[in-house]
Amino acid sequence: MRAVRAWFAKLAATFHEDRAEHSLNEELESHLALHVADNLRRGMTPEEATRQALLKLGGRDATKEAYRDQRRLPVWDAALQDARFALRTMRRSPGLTGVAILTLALGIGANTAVFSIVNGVLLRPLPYRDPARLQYVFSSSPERGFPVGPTSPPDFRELRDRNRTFTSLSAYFNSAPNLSGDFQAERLSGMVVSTEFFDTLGVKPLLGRTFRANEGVWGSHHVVILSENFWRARFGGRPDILGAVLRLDGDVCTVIGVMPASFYFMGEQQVWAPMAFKKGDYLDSHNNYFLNMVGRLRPGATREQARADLNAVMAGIAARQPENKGIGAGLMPLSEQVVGDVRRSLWVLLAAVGFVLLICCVNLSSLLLSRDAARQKEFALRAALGASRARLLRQFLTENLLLALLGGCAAIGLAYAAVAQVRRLAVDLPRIEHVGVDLTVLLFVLTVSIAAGLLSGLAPYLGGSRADLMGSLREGRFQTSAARGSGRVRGALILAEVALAFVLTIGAGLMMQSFSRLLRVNPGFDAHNVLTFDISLPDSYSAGALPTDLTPPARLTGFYDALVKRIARLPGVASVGVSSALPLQSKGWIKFLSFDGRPAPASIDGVAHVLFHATVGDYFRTMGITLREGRFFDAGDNASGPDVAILNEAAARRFFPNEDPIGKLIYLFPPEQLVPKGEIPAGFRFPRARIAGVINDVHYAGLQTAPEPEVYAPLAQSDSLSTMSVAVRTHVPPSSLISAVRGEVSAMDRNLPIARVSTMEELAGSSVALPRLHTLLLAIFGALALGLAAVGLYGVIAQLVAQRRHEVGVRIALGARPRAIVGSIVARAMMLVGIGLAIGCGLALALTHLMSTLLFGVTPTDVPTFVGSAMVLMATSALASYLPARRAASVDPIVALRCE
Amino acid sequence: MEQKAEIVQGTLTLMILKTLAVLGPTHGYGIARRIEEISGDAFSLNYGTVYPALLKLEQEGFVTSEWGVSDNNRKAKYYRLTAAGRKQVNKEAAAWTQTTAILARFLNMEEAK
Repeated sequence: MRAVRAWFAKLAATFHEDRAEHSLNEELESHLALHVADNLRRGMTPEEATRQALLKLGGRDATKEAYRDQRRLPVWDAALQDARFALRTMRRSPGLTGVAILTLALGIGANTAVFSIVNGVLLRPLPYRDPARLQYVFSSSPERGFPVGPTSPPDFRELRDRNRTFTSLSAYFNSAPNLSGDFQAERLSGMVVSTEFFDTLGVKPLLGRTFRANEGVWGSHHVVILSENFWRARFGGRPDILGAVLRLDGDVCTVIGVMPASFYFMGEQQVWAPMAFKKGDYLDSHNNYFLNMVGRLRPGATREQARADLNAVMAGIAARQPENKGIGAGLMPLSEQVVGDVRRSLWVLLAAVGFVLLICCVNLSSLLLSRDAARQKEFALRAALGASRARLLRQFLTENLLLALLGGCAAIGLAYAAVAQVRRLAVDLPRIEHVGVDLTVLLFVLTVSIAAGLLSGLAPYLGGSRADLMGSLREGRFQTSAARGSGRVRGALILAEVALAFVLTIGAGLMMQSFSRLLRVNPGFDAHNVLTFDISLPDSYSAGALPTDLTPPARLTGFYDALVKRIARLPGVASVGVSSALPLQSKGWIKFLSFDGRPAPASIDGVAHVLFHATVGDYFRTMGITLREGRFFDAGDNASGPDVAILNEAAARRFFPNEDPIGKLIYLFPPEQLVPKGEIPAGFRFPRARIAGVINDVHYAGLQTAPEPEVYAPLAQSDSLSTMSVAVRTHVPPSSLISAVRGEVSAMDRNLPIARVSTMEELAGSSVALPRLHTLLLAIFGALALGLAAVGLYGVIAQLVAQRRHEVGVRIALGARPRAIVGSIVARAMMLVGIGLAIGCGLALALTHLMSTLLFGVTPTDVPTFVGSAMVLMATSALASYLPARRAASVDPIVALRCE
Repeated sequence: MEQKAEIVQGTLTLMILKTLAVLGPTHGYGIARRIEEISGDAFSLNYGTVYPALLKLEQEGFVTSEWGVSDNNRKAKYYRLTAAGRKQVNKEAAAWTQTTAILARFLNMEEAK
């Protein structure tokens, strides 16, 4: 107890050393004064009195030293001494210190930036209560081609009510309600959720309440919850928002709550509405799979138990509902669903940037090695004077740690700047808003700095201590034994550096190859000068339509026809078209495809599938899509005209390999005889469409995905689709037309907003934003690695050459030609580089397959990339060793010899 | 030359504590003088050694110190026992008495002839 107290007293004392020292001095002077006064009283002369007092004290300095020893903590004291000494050493060689800190700052800064992304996207727990128990639940039907898919409302209700492994299971789907009324019409991003949704996630509202069970019943469902951001932006955060009414899609909804801005679930929403279906709603059937599910596992329940439980429920449904045959259920941690594919690429980036840091450490090691070689005598002297090896090692490590921590501080600054850039570049990254420099990131910097300091301190120690310290003291400048020891270490450093840099250049090379191939993909459309936006027509446009109608109501098609005509008349507009999906944005709808005059497959599983798009107006010409055969749709292809369709080349190749598709009859349904009895009236025939044209393939799902067979139909002859995308080709910069276009829409319907306004070029750019970020980062890391390796190599060779200066002088004096000497030095360096490349090649082969999901059109073992990277590295290395070699060979032999 | 006893390890602390217990607040010089006097000049005491010992006692919380003025009007640092220090004097004195008693018994044993 007393010892602990004393320890703390000592620790505290280290923080006011000056005051304590002052007090000690005063106390000793007062002691001497008292003693001298006594001595004088005894009749001594003043000189004798002082002398005796000092003698009796045992010496002023000895007393102070003994006192200080008692005052301080021994380890702390030595550490401070080491640190002070290290700082002095650094000040003596500011150039070397600067380079070392800069190297570390680059390495640690790059790592910190990538780690802050990993931390924000992958590591930070989801902002819900006990997020580890939350699971993403899905329907699974591998045979039908969707191993992970949404579920239908009846399936969801059975799963929710009958499972035994979840405390709560809820469903949700994205919605985009139109807000109208007293405000300027606006399309919101929203989510329709089952009433238990917020309880499943375990989140509380900022104001008001979440949904009650009865609000999931049709008729009581006209309530809405707002997001804090939307409430503040649109309603100025007014406190009386609860009970206010909004017109959403024409319905009057009462605001019952506001969710805090910290709440976040799968993208950003402005409103949440309860899920409720009208009796007999077509959506509420076993044929409509559009619900996502999230569930909270019961404490103690495993995922395997839950999977078995859910599948038992699904099997029960399938026993009653034949259309559910083969549909099971699955689940995965919610965090995996949120992060998705990004996980792999982030780990690859973190590994790559870790390699950069290793190269930085290697560089630092060799830098310190050359410094310590110069300080060999100092260490030998200190060892001779009695410094223990442990004490010297501690000195080394203190110096390196101090360097590393200074580097770490600089790195934090770099990381801040880098994170800002990343946030700007990668808007598509999930949870990007959580990326930043926080406490975890700072702890990471500290850990990495210390690790880097220890790691780079290790090599000089191995090199320095193995050398016979006394030997180097005796030998003066002929440090042959020491030089040989550190020469081996230097060789190993070159190997490590080259190997690491090779792996990184290959990684960067593969990414760049892949990205340039991605950019070379012909998207199938011309993105230049095209403005796009979305329109979502409220239900009132379909009023009176029957669920059995096979074509959209006239009011809906009429709206789009009129809109196309109005916009086409605007100055600067070349052509206008409307489509159910835009290129690079979404795959579109999946439909059956059957052929007139061909035998029907044995079962419904054998019926072909295609992607389907409905268009209005001059969509193909507006998108710059080219006609391969036949004709585009024209004004005659309307509700009263005969049904027509256009195929893309992929569909023409797949379904009409040996014949001309033009004029053939197809229909987007299964053959009538395969439809279960009673679903269609006897003798009913689905409408047949005649193929009018074939167009080039367009990438809808993204540049990485090969175009699938697609069928286009005029909207007037297809399903009722309320949300459509409008494309406008312009003669002027497309953004300049935004307000004119908005004006035309609201002139037609004052309550109708336009949404997702952007140019096709912006959409094309953002579709490759993530690959671009990956490529950019890996290219930066690769270039950094190459540059660092070159600098490191240069330093090591220069050091080796400097040590052989005398030898070179002798050889030149004996008649060796400088060129031969340069050749021999470079050859030796290149031999090391060669071995490094071989090691790096093995390492790369073992590692690059981890990147395979990030690569497009390039295999992870792409030979040209490997060879090209090797050549770049060889050339860089040759240059880095040639420069110091030439300088060594150009030395005047007399000077070199006289140096001795 | 007169043979003086070296101070036994650990006893200096007890002497300081006891001195403070008897004299009350005292400065370092006074403590050193007192120890020398009591021992009848049998110790060769470097006055300087009382200071680290006082600091140790202070760190352990047995004494406290403050600056004051001496009888002949000089500034000096005065040391005073704390409550814990007073207990410690009794404890250590008892332990020491016991030790010396045991040791005395050993030393008084008749040597076997």
